[in-house]
Amino acid sequence: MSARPVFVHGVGAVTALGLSWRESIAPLAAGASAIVPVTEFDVAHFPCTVAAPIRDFKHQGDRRIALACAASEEAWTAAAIAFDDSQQKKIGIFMGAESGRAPFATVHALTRAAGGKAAFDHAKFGKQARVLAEHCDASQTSPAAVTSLLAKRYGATGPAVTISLACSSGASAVAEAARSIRLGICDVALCGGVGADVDPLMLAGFGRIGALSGRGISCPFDARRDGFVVGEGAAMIVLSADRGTAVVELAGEGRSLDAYNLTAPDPDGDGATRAMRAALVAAKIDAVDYVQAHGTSTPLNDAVEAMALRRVFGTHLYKSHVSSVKGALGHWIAGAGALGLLCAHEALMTGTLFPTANLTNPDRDCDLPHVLGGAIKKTVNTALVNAFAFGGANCSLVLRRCA
Amino acid sequence: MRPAPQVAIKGWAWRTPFGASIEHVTRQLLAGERAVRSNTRFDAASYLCSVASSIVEEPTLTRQHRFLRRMGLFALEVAREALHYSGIPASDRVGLFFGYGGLRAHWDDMMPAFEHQQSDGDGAWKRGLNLLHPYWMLQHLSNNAHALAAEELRVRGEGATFGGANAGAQALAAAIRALEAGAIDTAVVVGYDSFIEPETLVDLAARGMLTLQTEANVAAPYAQTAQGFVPGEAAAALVLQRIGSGDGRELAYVQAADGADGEAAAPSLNTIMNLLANLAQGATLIDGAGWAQPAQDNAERSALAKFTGEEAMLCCTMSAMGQLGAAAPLVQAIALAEQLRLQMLAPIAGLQQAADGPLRPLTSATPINTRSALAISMGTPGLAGAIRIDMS
Repeated sequence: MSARPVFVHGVGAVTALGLSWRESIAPLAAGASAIVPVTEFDVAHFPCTVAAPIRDFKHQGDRRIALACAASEEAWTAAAIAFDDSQQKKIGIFMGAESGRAPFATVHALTRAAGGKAAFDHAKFGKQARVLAEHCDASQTSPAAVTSLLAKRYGATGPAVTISLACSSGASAVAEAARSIRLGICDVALCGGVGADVDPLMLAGFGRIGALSGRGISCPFDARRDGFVVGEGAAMIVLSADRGTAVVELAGEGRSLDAYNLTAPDPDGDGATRAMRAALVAAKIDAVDYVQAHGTSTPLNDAVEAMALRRVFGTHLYKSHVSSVKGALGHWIAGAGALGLLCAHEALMTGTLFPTANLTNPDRDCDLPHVLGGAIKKTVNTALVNAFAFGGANCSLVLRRCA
Repeated sequence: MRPAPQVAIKGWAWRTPFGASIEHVTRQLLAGERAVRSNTRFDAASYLCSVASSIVEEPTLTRQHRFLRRMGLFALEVAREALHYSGIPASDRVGLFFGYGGLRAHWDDMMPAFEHQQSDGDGAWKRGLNLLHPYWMLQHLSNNAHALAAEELRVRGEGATFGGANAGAQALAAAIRALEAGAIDTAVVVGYDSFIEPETLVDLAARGMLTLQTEANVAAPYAQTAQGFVPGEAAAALVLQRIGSGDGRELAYVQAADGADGEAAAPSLNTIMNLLANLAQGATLIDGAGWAQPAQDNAERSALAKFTGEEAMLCCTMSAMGQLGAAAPLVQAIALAEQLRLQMLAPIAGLQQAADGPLRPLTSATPINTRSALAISMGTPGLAGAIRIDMS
């Protein structure tokens, strides 16, 4: 059996620049950045005090689930997949999602149930935490809770996959969805990623390891870059084996492991290079018109990605354009790659290439054909999306405009 | 309907509440032993559930213990052992697929950081978040064991960490897809999980899922008197290749499926039946999920019987080891393959009188002459996994 093609039928998102993908497009094209001082909680003395929070998104319960449901609804509606009685399509759900987190107040209450001292008191916790358990459903913080709920909502009977792979979770979920369609395991896939990490513990944890911007600016590939800024949001995509009215094909996916270091990318960019090349080979192309880079605004990662891009495309690279959405929306962690795919999709659909917000002084180590200031308009027939994770898990996706 | 693809198992390893030796653990299973005992991980006297099936041994401390806690270290150990057992060298064509239940709080780090906190988070940094270890984030990274295994084993093909109580089944199914697609030639699949964590015990007990009995009085799954399961923990690894590829013996053959349906607790029977539709053909031997809730157990038996017939034999690896979360399908795969090889099926540990219902719950070790078996595992919220093991 030859592998089936995979087409993009609908996309949706909730971002800090809009409560739908449709609302987010114009500010992204204008080079806006949603990065602001954090006021959701007290960040005094934190290593990084800015983020890209979604402030006017009202919800109850787990934030990841609420964001993913809203983005899925937009994508599903846009896809308008037709189901007729004679051809029951098998739907799969593929989510990039990490574990949810109890609110700070709940964690605080749990520590108080455990005695509130420096050491955990099991004798107290075994009794006092029972009351807390009765008021919260821990299963909703499972990494798979988002997937499971979406499976119910969309009647999915195919695979229900949750990938928790740090910064390449969302892109890997899309790649897994595409593979499942190509192999005939499902016919339609709702896939993407969600990140809801504007949270005291996450900002403290990433801050302690020195990954966040002390300057409070997300400026991928800029000489001033000094770390990433946490963002949040969900980006969802509906894929199908049927072309129907689709304009964009997901033409190739490539994944690799650096097998190098938990925190640093392979300085030679070998893993990133192998992922990109695998995706291009799968798509049967050797150059693209646009690259939505991982571009986190961390000194080493951006330089390594730029080097890997130059190695993969050679001089062809300078006939394309490269940008990173993280200047505008920060780093969504598990949702990042899926958001990148939406940016590339927009480039293919409308010829709008979003700029890298806050990139004003490109680093010489990041010599790339950047999109600066505002959006560029040009015909885009092919695009590459990169997502590279902590721990060296790499994923690249190639999109192509249907002939 | 498209049949689920099947691949060969070339290597394996595990850490279970009965130990690490596959031969020894299989003997324990066949003898009907249970690993349930008073919780030895911490003093659980005040918890509603004070029994557990825990891994007795501690992992070997390596330089990775800076980043990994106990279960992550076990995951690394079984990945290393299974790949070594297979004799397959690491390369760009070897993939790595991990499944784990989800992040657990490391309370020994959290307590000092929260000792002086206020519930509103005012001044949180100076009140203690500044005390978090610089590696705190790496210790809580969902893919930390996966990344460190790739680094140590020099495995550079594709791979991912899958999350949720059925993540072992997800990882197995994804690895099989990767092999089928030709993206890799070999897959190392690891499942690891522990329910023996303070907040997990409290939560599961509050939802009525855990046994509240003492060690001597825990009722077995599928017994009319069952009142909840024993929390367990395990790590297990399989090395997979396409059938007929590579060198070395093929220990068994495996197929896998996963599903979810958003139910608050156990997945619906429709979800389980949907998973079995592609796996159950001709199977007359089942390793059940065994949640030890009479209504749930009976519903599971009814669903299984629709595919296997009412006379199919029912065993339950988790009756002996406790519920194992994301590790369950991999542990079941090894346990079933060994029992099929020995042509002897283990009883449901502790079961004296099964509740009425379809299937034949085994109360003693039973000779078999079949070459295939099914296994079901379940988790919350609404998560399911299924595997099929064939010996030929």
